[in-house]
Amino acid sequence: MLQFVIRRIIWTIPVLFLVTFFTFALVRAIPGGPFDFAGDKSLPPTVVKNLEAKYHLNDPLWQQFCSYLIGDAVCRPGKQNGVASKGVLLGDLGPSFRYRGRTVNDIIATALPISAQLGFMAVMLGMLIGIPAGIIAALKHNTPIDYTATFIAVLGVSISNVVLGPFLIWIFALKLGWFPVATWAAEPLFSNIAEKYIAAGEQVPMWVNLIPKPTKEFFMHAVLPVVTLGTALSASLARLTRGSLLQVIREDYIRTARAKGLRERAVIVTHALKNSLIPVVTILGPMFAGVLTGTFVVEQIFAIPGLGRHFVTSVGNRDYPVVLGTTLVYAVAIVIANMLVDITYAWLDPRVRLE
Amino acid sequence: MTTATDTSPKDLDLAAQRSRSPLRDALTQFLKNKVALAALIFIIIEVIIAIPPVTDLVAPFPYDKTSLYDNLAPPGSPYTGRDPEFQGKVFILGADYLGRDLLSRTLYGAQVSLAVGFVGATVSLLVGMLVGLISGYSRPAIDNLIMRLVDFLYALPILVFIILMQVYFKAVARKESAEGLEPFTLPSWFGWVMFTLFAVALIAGIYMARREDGGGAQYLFVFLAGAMFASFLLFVILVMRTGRSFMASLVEIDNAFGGMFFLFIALGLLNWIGMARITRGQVLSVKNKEYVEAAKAIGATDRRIIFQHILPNVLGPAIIYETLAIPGYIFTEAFLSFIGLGINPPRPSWGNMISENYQGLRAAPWTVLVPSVALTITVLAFNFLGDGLRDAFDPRLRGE
Repeated sequence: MLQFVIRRIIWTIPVLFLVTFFTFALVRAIPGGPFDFAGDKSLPPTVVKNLEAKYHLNDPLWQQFCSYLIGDAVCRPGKQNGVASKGVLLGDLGPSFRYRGRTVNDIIATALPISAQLGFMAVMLGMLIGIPAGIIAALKHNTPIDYTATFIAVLGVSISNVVLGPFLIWIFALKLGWFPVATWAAEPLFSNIAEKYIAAGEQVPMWVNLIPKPTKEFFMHAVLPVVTLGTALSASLARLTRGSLLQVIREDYIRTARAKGLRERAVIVTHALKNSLIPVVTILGPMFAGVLTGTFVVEQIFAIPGLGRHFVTSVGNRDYPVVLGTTLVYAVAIVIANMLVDITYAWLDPRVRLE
Repeated sequence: MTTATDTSPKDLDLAAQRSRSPLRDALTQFLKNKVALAALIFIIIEVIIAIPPVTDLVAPFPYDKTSLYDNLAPPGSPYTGRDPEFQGKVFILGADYLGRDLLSRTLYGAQVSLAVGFVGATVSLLVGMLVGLISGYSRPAIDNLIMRLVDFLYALPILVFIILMQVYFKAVARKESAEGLEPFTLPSWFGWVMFTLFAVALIAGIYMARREDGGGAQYLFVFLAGAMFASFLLFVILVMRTGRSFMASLVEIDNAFGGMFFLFIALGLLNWIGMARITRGQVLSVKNKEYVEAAKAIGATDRRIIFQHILPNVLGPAIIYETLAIPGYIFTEAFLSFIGLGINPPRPSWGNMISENYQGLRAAPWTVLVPSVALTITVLAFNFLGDGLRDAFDPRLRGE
């Protein structure tokens, strides 16, 4: 088991390297540069030239990639005019070309917690509704309850976020006025710590931003985006749980368990449920990736200043370090999620380990 | 060795014809499923309407016909513009903020969603099955290599890369069009050549598939893929003869498709992973079955085993998987168009219709409602169809 975990962790290194490499290559291949426009006007050529020199954009590409990865000290010895980078390996994602004076680390420290809160609540909603609904539907197989649940679930997976978001806003924010229309209202729980950083003129660290104060305002703002993101999740989880439990219930060992006189409750809870959740666990990895991409849409619709919005705007702006940094954050998140899923899977199903 | 291959067991074939084939079983099962059948009929009707000449016929207005007197006209209002051609027509489902007919735009939008769905599914099916077959059937070293590649792609944030590629393609297209070459027009015979190519491929494919000793449906796939490739090649040659670069000719193709072509590439390049995994799994499970061993024993070649014995077993699950994947492609297109990286306006797609109109949701809800309902019902139909197919082909889910 330990060997499996170690192998799995080592495997993430080449993956992350290749993601960085491909993103770097792709984003540099896009025509146009970060300093083509300032607002509506284009910058004078000398200014562009100076800016490009400041950010080392005229160096050979391999040198830029190298210093992005392991820092200026190694790849650009002696010529560290302008901004010196410590390299991604030491956690320095570089400066933003567009937001003057902010680093990519700053942007991620503010934006990622928002996306993470949104995603986490959506996953929670999805699991809390989806898995129980799937279990009930499977246990009441071929009854009206089952049909209703199945139908609602199909409907749930068939509604795009792009459709659901605007309509929730229209009904619950505009017509009924129950919830605010847009934006996010998270304040850090440890506001005294955050204030200390702000007073010192420094970036509030990510973990402080990550934990929200459970105010009424926070939840009111969160309801609509979370429901938008969580509906499809809970629907697909319900479908999956139902299908998987239905298959498990027909297995021989369930009949054996019944035959030896176990109570129905014990049969279902200890024998059927545990095994039926194995496929559900395997889907959690792709599902997590789906939530990440779902936050793109939801942040766009609800004007939430999360990571997805930053990514979309930064690609349009050719803000290379922000594109690379956000992509890397997404890749790390997906890689870690997949890894956890694989390890959980290996733990639940010993056959996997032996491969 | 080689002589043994030719003595195909005819009497066994006859026996199979008399018994109920699994395909017929599944078909009977599928026809009993009323919801799935309705979904299938809905999709067929939608596909027929989405064929370009039919859409031109059915849609009351062209998709880009604006009428400033009728902006945000509610459903059922008559056309009040001055254009004599459209006098007496009615905006059945209302008009958007530029006075464009929503029904027409939604019908044209179906072209985009269905094309993206079907092409995405076909590309992913072909690439994924090819990779999966190779991986499952070759030596462990090659299999491992391919599976590591699949693992790597699996860890990619796919949508992030689709967005990056779309931005790349759009920027290249803008650069190419800024260089000021004369606009490229397709010669009128190109459509006929394409039509003939596909018709020949279809007929030849069906003929080969029906031949007794023939390999089955795979010829159809190969021929259709060939026709697709040939027309693509012809197009590129035509464009490059006007002095454009290869990239510029791709941009021209993209323009001809209204911005869909690059979307196909971005979707196709990145979405075959699941298919490859499923195919490989099926190959591995079929590879050691007795009948494959028997085929090997009588000296069948690798190609024959793959096409005759393995592929037919893989095709069913593959098609079901792809049917259930189509909603994903349609959603991706809708989202990309929503953030302005999909179809080029003024050509409508349901995604960009929602994005154009949702700011005015309060004043004119029907402008968003119409494309939303179209998108949801279409995806619902694909989901019902996919579920129905899966239930029909999986005997374990029958009855009880």
